[in-house]
Amino acid sequence: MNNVPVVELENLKVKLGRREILHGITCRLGVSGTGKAVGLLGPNGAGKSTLILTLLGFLRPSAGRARILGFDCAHSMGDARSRIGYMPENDAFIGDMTAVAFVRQMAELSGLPPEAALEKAHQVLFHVGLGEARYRELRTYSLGMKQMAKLAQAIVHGPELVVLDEPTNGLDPAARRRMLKLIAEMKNEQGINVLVCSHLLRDIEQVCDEAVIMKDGNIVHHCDLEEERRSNRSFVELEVTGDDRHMRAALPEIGAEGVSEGFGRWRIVLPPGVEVDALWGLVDRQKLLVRKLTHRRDTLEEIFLKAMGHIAHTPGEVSP
Amino acid sequence: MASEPRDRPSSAPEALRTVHRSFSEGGSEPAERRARERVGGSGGAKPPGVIFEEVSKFYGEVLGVNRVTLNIPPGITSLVGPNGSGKTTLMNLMTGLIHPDHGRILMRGISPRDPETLMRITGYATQYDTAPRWATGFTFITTGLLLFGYPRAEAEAKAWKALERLSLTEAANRKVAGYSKGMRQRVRLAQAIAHDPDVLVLDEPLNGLDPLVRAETIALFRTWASEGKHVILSSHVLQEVDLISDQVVLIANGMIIAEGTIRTVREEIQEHPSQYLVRCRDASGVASRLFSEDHITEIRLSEDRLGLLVMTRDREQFAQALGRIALNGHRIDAVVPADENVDALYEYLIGGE
Amino acid sequence: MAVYKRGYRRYAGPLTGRWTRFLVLPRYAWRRLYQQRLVLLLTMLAFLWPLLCAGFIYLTNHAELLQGLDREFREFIQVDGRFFSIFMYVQAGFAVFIAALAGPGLIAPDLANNALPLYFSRPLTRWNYALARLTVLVGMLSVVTWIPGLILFGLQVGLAGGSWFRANWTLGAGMVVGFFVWLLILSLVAMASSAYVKWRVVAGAVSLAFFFILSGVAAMIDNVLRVTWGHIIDPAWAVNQVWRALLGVTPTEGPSAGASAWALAALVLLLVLVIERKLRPVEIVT
Repeated sequence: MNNVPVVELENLKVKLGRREILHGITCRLGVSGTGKAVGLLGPNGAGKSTLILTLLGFLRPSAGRARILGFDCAHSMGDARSRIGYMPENDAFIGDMTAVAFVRQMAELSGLPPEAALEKAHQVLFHVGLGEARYRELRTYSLGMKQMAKLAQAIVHGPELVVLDEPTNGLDPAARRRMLKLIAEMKNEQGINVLVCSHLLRDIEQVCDEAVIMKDGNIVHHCDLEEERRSNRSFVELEVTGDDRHMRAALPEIGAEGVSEGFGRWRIVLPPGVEVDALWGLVDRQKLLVRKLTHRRDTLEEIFLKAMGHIAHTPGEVSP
Repeated sequence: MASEPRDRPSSAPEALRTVHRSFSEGGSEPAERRARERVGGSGGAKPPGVIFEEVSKFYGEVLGVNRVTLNIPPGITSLVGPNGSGKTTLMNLMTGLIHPDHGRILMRGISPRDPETLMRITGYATQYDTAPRWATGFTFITTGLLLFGYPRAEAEAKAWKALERLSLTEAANRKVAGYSKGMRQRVRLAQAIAHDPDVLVLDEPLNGLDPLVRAETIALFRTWASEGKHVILSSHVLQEVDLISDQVVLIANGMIIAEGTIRTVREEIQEHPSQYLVRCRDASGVASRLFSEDHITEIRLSEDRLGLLVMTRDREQFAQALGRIALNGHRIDAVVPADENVDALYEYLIGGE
Repeated sequence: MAVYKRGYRRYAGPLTGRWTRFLVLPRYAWRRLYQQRLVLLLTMLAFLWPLLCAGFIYLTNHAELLQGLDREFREFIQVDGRFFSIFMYVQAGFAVFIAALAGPGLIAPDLANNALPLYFSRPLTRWNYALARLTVLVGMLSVVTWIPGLILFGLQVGLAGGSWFRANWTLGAGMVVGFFVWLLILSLVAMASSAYVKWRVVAGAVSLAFFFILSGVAAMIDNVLRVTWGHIIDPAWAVNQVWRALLGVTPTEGPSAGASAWALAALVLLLVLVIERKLRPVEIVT
């Protein structure tokens, strides 16, 4: 079972009612058992939810095939589902059960024996931060707590793959940070594969290793974020304090080119051979102080905009 | 594009939570100021702000807000705070849906106790899904406008225009029940802006919107802000708040923790030294040089020994020291202020719970 | 001394089989339902009549205790089809009320907050789910219907001997089958009202009203159109007719047992379809 991809699609077409939503997608995502996270992005109406619902076996393909963890989504989902955890986007809970009872019941439904289910329910509720509130009924929970309870029921049975649909939806900053930390822990320490669907590109950037961008029922871009992070394409963002009117003219002195964004912010491309030291020297000669200096890579946002066709090139692609 | 000298922040520290702060200068961006002056018209009179004076609201025993004083100038203002901190209460107070137990509120000079006048200049988009499912998007907005008293033709024209601004024209004649979450969010925004209000109160307006629509909506906010309108929104996505807001209001437990532009708020938090992340080749060498400076309070080496987290009490001196060190043969690859964003402010002032 | 870093560890043990998994939902539901006092009370009250009947059976089988009574009267009080049909009638009434109490909490809580995707993303098909919920009610209602019925039957066999059994075993079988039909219909009606009505009290009232209303409509049709086939749409009446046939008691006037059986089958099918519509993990709105 070594190289089984987490998700494998072969010319997958899916219809909702009479409209065809997914128009023949083919791709392979992730490798089972490696504890990596795949991000699913795209504008509304691109077909992300449809894809997720098809992968879970809730919708049938009208043509083509979809496999999840090697199991065919249309036919063999029965046992596959013990290995998958799902956290839907909308509210999903049972109001009159306590968190413990709820997570326990879900664990048992996924195949855990009753004693193990009770143990794991407590472990997982503590792990997601619902320690104190676990004996209270779910309808008394705040939004952030409900999201955590949703996450708890998705991972309690120790699945190989967890599908998270907008996990940080509506969470306040502290809860969001905790959720992202939990997701990172899941994949790094527990070796669980994660499929995250989100509109917040920064969340995906922080947590995912691969990203798939969908548009109008097709996959328009598949990028390996790990590689992006390692890549050499970068440019320098500089922010200075002082009078920087003459910077533009002075940059060619060190062989660099740059563009001003106002308020002392500059975007500078250093050609190979020109080191950062030269930039420090230039700044000093201009009698300016460096407030900020970073090497930036294309953010996921820029990659996304390019995939959508809103920009022609990402900043990192523009050659010096 | 000519760059302009950056405005130096005011160096006179004031105590945090100052109540009588004057905001007439607003943000430090010159463009904003010019726009505001333009709108002010003859005599340079600027539109009055959104003013709260010692406002309290309790729901029986439950706390809404407690002695809130604010003066919000035009522009984009973000309300930031944990859930249950009073953001929605503030918004309901602003639009007159509830009335305070104590204190006074003035929305650009109009009191919320005069809803007839106030609601003409105010648009409110709540975070709850309230559009009736059986109506189409177009009917929903048109009906709202008819209630304002616009004749039918004008109401329909305005509704269409609002839908265009939010890219909902394709789905305008479909029932709201068939809309996706993002579309329902947009139709709520559309009904809030349809009557061209001067004050927009938006509760988590970007929730559920995909990145493209987010960017478009943010551009829309910027346009309104530059026209001198008030755009007051609440958000949990702090990086976005950083990028789009002119002012920020931090609220927790029903009380205002901080307000103002992000830079000025940060500068006022004297008790916290500024943090910088420095990437360099010879971390220990750079660290030992920095330690000899007296404005440095703390330096932490990163695990890979190629970086430092530096805390300093004086930004300018730190920048000078770093420049000197860079010119003396220590290669400094990067320096980034680690805490001049709303995330750090949030962390300092409200905490991670 | 040792420091244990105990956090959450993934479960890596054996998984339970299909039947154990199937019983999870009923177990949780039963636990919750029998914690409610009203349900317990009603269940216990439902044992009164069987106790009385047991006493009656004892009496009829010990003729010496009836010495002082009329011979005709003694012939009247026999344990036969009519006896069991009266027994069933009363217990069926209790069953209706228990179903109305226990039914509403079956499906409504799952629908109220969109928990269905959580169920169906697990190894649980829609039919399993529906069957499991049905089992909850059928189980509770069995406890007050055919189980005491069988016990009474057994008591009678024990006291009256093998010959009585050989002559009357159809009574026992008929009673069980008859009860099952009634249980099935009750449970399906309770499930349907729980699937469509959010508020518990209203859902309970709806499942009760279902029978009263149909009965009223049947009577109306009969009186207005001056026919006798109107009764076929009254499930209580139809079931009763079927019982009479099974137990060998003279049928009441109106449609035959066969026709009633078909009408009931149609009702069951209708209810199943109605419930199936609500049990979708995904609601598709075009």
